[in-house]
Amino acid sequence: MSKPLAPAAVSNPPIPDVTQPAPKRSLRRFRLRLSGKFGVAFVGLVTLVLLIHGAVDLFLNFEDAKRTAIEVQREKARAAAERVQAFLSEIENQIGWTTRAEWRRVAPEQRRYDFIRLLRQAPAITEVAYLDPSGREQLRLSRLEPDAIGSGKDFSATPLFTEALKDKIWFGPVYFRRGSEPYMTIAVAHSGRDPGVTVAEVNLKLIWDVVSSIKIGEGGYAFVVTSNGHLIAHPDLSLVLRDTDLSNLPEVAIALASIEAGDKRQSDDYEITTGIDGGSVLAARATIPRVDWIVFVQLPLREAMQPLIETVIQTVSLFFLSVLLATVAGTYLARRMVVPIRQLQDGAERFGAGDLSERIVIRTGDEIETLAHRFNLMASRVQESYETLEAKVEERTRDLNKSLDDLQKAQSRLVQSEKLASLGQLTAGIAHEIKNPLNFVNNFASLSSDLVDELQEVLQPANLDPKSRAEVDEIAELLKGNLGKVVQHGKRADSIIKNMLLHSRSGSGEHRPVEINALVEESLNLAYHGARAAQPAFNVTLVRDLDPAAGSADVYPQELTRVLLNLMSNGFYATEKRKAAGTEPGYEPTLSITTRDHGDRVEIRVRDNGTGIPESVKAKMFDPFFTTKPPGEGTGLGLSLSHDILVKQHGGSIDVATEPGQFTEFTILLPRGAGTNAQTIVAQGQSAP
Amino acid sequence: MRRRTLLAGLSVTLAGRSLAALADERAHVAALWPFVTDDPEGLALAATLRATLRDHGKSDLRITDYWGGGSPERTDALAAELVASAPKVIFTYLKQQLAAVCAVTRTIPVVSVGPDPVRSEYAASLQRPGGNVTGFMLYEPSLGGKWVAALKEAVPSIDRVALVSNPNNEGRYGNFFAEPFLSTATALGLEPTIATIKSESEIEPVITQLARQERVGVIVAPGTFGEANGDRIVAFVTAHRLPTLFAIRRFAYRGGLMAYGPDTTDAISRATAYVDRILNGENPAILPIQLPTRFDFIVNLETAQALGITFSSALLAQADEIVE
Repeated sequence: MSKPLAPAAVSNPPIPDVTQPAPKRSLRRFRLRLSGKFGVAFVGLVTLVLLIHGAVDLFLNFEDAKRTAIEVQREKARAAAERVQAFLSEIENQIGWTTRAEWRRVAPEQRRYDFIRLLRQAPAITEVAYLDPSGREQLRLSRLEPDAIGSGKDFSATPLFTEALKDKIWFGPVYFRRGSEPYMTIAVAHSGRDPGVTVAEVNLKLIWDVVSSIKIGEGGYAFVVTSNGHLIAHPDLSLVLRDTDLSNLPEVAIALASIEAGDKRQSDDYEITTGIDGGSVLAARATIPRVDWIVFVQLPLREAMQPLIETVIQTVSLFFLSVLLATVAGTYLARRMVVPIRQLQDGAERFGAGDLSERIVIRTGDEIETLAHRFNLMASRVQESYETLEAKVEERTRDLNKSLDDLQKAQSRLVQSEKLASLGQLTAGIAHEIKNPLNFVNNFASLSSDLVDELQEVLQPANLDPKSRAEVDEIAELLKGNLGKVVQHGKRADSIIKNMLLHSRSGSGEHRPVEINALVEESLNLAYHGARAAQPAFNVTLVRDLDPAAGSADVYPQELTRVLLNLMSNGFYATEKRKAAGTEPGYEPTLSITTRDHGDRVEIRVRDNGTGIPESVKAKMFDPFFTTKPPGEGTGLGLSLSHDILVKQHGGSIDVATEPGQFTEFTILLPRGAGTNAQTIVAQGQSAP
Repeated sequence: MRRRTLLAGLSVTLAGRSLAALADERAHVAALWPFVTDDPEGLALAATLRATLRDHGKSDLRITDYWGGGSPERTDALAAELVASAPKVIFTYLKQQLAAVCAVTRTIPVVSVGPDPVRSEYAASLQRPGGNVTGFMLYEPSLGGKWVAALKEAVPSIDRVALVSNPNNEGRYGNFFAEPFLSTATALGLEPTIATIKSESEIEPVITQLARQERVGVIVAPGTFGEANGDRIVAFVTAHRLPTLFAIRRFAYRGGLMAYGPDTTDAISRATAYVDRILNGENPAILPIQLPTRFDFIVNLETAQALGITFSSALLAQADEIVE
């Protein structure tokens, strides 16, 4: 498994770098998308609304504009027709002068005056004639020809006479003089009985004045055609003079067809078609029924629809302007909206990364600000509870450590006491078993020694050669010596066993309050004299520094004495050893005892300036049966016992400070209520498992 | 609409200079007049031509006037000269001028005021001239009769009537007005004469000759000769106390007894529209030749008084203008 993974592990390091920014990038994309979304939504909404509005507006406008344009054209066509009709009516009115009932009876000279006046006042009339009731021409005045008076030409059978009499007025067909100039004959019957007729030739070229004065927008105009499609009036007079036949022009053709069909409906009196000059036009028409002329009014479609086109341009430009504005506003608003969100996000990110002091400052005055406030509130709460939690954890850890320490102490004490208990039992058993044979050995050895003495006494009187005597004595002495050694060592063994029994015996004696200084003094005397007894040459300087305030402590005095004796005799041994080495001539063995009051504890210090303890020994010196003394001089149990007594029995402590070749100082700290406390601790230790 | 105008204006402003240069290069109009240089009537009509063209928006147009007077030779020479200058449009006033130009060119558009180009065969018909000549006619033949009737009515005492004419004004079929003149005179019981004056110098002898007859009335036909020598004719007929009707209006103001004729200024204004249209690219072949529509009757009471003539109230009623 590890082998295939190895290369991957090698190439792995960049992976965190790649995967780490990945969420960031996706976040950024999301950010962009948010502002984008917002902007798109905003612009999209505005665009949609504008589009719908524009479309509806355009649709309505289009219909409206078309209707209006058509209506306007239709109106103009009617107006134009009225003006052309007014032109004819004017001529009719002028002629009407000469159609009074009594006109027949006025003098011929007077008639001529009237005609002269008529020609003067009606420039369109080029010729005027009077037909008497019988249809004969009595008078003719012309602008171009000599006046004819009483020519008597007979017109009685011509339509101008008959039709005029019938209908009061007759409009003749349009004719083109010399193939060019449009003319029309108008015959008006006189009033009264047996009427005559006034006939006028009208130059229709003069309708031009009427038609050309009709303004139809900028590019539009009006024109008039006869019922057979001949153009008789057009702003471009040359078209009229060319005798233009417009019956093939779509609008005219349609109009002629509809008139022929007798269709007088107003609804289809307009066309969108191709005009005379080409190009689309909006053409409307109106008829002049009396002469069957059709007046057309046409306007380039482009111009007619100009308001619409303007509306379209307006709408479209407004649309684009609005979209542009919406885009700008949308982008701005989206940014405004997103920036605080991003701040929130950054803040949350930093907060998430562990910066609990992170606070977000947003002044938008809206929900986001409230959100930021909430966030800050949350952050401070989290920070607060985090700090409380930390303090608590610290406290608990401290407590736990303390408990652990206590537990460990109790445990080791328990283990030690268990160990000692079992060792005690063992040694007690062994000691007991060994003590009896040892007593035998000791007793019989001393008995044997006595017996050797008795043997010598017995042999005293016997006569023995000196040589033999000397030999016997010698042997007896040797025996006595041997037996003495047996006794000596037997006693040593006995003392060992006694110590072992002491060791195994726990809780020996009673605890009671003891004066520490007195105890120390007593122990020191005991130790010194003990040492002097064992070795008369022994000498040491004793220094006492006893704190009068040391007071008393509740201890096991017997046990504590043993400890002090042990430490002191060790000190004596060390000084002796250093002195024995003899390398330092001015060496003065010193042992100092110090007591100090520490409130609820008492300190006892035993210091010697002996050989000191090497580092290798220091670690093991409290172990049972560990000794540096030569065999027979120490049991290796002294310090071990002392440690157990002080630590386990009294709940105190023992520390050693040493410098090899210089000094050794043991420091004992004893609680004042040591005896009772120890009991409790042991009890706790026992109940804990 | 305003936008379009603005754009058009803009382009004109931007291109103004080059357009002017182009106009100078191309749009050159030559006008051939039957007047001598500095003739007030000629200057007035030329001014009308210019003013009207300006009204049509041709303000930078170059118009060159050629003053040929009544002299056929000079007119022919000028016609050759002006055609050589290759104008865009030629404007001619009266028949002799049109004939002179048409003798030189049948391609450069000609706008004529005065004669009947159809009768002179320069144009196929009134509605579609079909050639390079179009224009406005000032007179119709029937006026010959109208004049006779008017003169007879004004001076009922006359027994004879003479139409003073210049052969240069006559076409292939003789005098334009001859036939109605003769028939009307006959119908009115007058003895008609067509008095031909070939040149300026013949004016006096012919008038004197006419004055020798009793109760004679004179009609001065329109045309180049009449335009050029009208004042002189007025002087002679006044000297000989001859009742005279002029076809050309202004001579009624200059001492002639009466006049019946068209408003030439008006005709020139309308013809200018054709000049403008041709300059704008229209073809003269499809611009219809227009007939005169209005004639003014003018009587001079001063001259009448001098001649001891009293006009009838009917005649005065017909008069459009009375010179007192």
